[in-house]
Amino acid sequence: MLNILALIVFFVLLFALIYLFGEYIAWIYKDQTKSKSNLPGKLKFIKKLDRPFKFLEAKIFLVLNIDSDQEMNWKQYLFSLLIFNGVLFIFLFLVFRFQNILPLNPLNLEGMSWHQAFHTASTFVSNTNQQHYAGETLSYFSQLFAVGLAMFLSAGTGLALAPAFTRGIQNQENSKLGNFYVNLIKGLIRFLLPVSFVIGVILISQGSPQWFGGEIVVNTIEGVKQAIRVGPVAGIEAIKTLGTNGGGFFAANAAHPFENPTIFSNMLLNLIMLASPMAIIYAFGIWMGKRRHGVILIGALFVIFLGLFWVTAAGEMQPNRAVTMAEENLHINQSLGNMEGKETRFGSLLSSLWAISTTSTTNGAVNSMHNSYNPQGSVGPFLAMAMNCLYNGLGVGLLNLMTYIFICVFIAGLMIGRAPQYLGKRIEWREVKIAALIILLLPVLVLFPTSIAVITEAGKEAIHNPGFTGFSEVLYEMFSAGANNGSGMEGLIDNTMFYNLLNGGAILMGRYLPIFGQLLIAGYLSNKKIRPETEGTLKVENLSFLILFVGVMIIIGGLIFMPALAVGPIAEMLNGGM
Amino acid sequence: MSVKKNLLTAIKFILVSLLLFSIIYPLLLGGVGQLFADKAEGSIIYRNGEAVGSRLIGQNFESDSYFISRPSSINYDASISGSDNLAVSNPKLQQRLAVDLEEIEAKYDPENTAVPVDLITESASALDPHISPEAAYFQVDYLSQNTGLAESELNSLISEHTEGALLGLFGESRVNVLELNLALEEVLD
Repeated sequence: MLNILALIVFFVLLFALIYLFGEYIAWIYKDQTKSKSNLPGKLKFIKKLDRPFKFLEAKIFLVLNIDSDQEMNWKQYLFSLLIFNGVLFIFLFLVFRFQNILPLNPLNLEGMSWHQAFHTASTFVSNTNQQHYAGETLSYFSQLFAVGLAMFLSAGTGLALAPAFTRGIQNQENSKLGNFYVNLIKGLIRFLLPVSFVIGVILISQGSPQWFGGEIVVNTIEGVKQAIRVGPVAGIEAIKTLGTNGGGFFAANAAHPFENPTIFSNMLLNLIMLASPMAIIYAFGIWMGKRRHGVILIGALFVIFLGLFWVTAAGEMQPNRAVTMAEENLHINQSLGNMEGKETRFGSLLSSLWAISTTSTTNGAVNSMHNSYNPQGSVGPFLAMAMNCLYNGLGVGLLNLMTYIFICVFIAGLMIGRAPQYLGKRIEWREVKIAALIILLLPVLVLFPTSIAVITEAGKEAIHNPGFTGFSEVLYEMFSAGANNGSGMEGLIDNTMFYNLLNGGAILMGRYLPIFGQLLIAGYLSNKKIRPETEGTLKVENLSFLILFVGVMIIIGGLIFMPALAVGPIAEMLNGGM
Repeated sequence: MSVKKNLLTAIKFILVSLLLFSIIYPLLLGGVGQLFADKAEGSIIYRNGEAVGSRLIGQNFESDSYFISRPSSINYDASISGSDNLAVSNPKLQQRLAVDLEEIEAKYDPENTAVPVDLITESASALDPHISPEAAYFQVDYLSQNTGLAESELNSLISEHTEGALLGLFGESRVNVLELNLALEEVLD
């Protein structure tokens, strides 16, 4: 009963935060999206922030020599984005490779191998944050000037896509989607930087360090030396969560007591992790002048989210089978559920909530170890990544969602026998074809590498746990890369040339191919007329649309992967949990 | 924008970003963090002026007169982190459980009392500073024999150091083992 009350409080807070973030982000990009909606009366005070932000932005535009009125069509937008990300990629690669000769390395840590630097640069430039290194092996320079930097810029890149795509639907026979750098800089200066700062201060108040002292060596009361690694953790943790990044400062990620010290910090981070990508979907509704539509979309995703959460939480509150089997002479009290790989302060409920939050967004931070989950518990994170369109990443989440919507609108059009239309724009064969290709990309990026890994020695050597879980580890790793999620069943010994190159390649394709396709769709839509809504138009603001949409997502997103899941967690479950 | 203009803008913006996000942001945060002095520096606990650990990082306790922490595959070495990631089906997990349970049986002789699960399972970070209150009460009988303190005294120490769920709703009750042991030591002195 108490658990249900806790969840209700959590979700009420979540929706309040989505409202706040959503209205705020909508306000930031009001002009860029040609939106006619205004801030609601209660939030009018936000406008006071406009002047200092504008001042800072104007300075940056001046330094960069950007004409903020000059707008780009979809090709120019994509081109600017790719060049910017390309330069960032090279910079990251060099920092990771040569951190040994760079400053701020008090512990004299080694540079990465070229293939690990390739994987790490790919993963951070693309907002994936899959980590084939332990956070403790990075110098402060790498943490601040590469990881921290990329967390801001990759999140900013994703965020900048949302207003551009919206413009595609908003435009009346006009090819301009906005200026990439204007959208990027506005998102960074007005949303990511100030909100991260506030979260960072709260995290420090909870005990997350922001300190540059290397290691603190203490003498324990039993006379043993304990070296405690500290660092600028709070700042990285804040943007890591807000920007759907997920790469931990430490190997144990958000389970580490310095990253996530208290239950309060855990609840805050969990709320932020969900609210930031969900807020973009709400903001989309505002930009289109249809707040209700945004709410319906969030509601549809929320239904699936709750279903997956229920599966996982029910699984993790069960005892761990291995512990039960160890009961010979002694009785073991397992009322806390499966506690292997979980922190005492979070327990199994908050760990399950986090696990589904981190996989249904593309965050990928973990506060418990998914490898040690009961088989039923691990099904939820798998399915959440498979759908790849639940809240997803900052900004790109909206684009992935739209991809599903076009398929959904197309199917609905076939069912009622009318030309499919979405928010006044005709959806024709070109858009549907691209959308279908984007959806089919994920199975290709996940299933092909998985099959390669399980038939080659290089792939099999890395497996940590025997049996079905071993297969799950590999499949999970590929999902995490292809869906740009970044979480891991961390047992897999993945820092090998084989996994670095295979995952690094999948990560880059999983990020930039969909962006290419989605901007192309935005370009097509942008040049079309807006048609008035008639009696025969499919209504997107009612319950029947919600049901149709949920059905399409489950059938298309979930079922493609059923055969693969049947060999992993489902087989393990049917085998009595062993 | 042309290729050249694009490249130039990208490089310039990355330089601006380094200044904003890699230098100003962390330093400003560190500065504000000084308001919470010891917290920004790792919540280090001092005893007689000497650092003995962090409030947030668990430690291994082996002596007969201290409460023990959860098992840790890295032995609470806080220069690294992360559990051993053993799956439910991994035979290594069963072996580890069998060894730990044998030790617990020999040391605490629980007879009919159930062993709290957190005492035999590894935490996610392998640096968990807490155990459940049940796991602390489980050790009272043994510690009372070893330290000579009355069970009631130990019980009240534990209840003093028990932190409840947030707002009574979120998370689990827990006891910080290092703080509990420091308090225990104070009573013994």
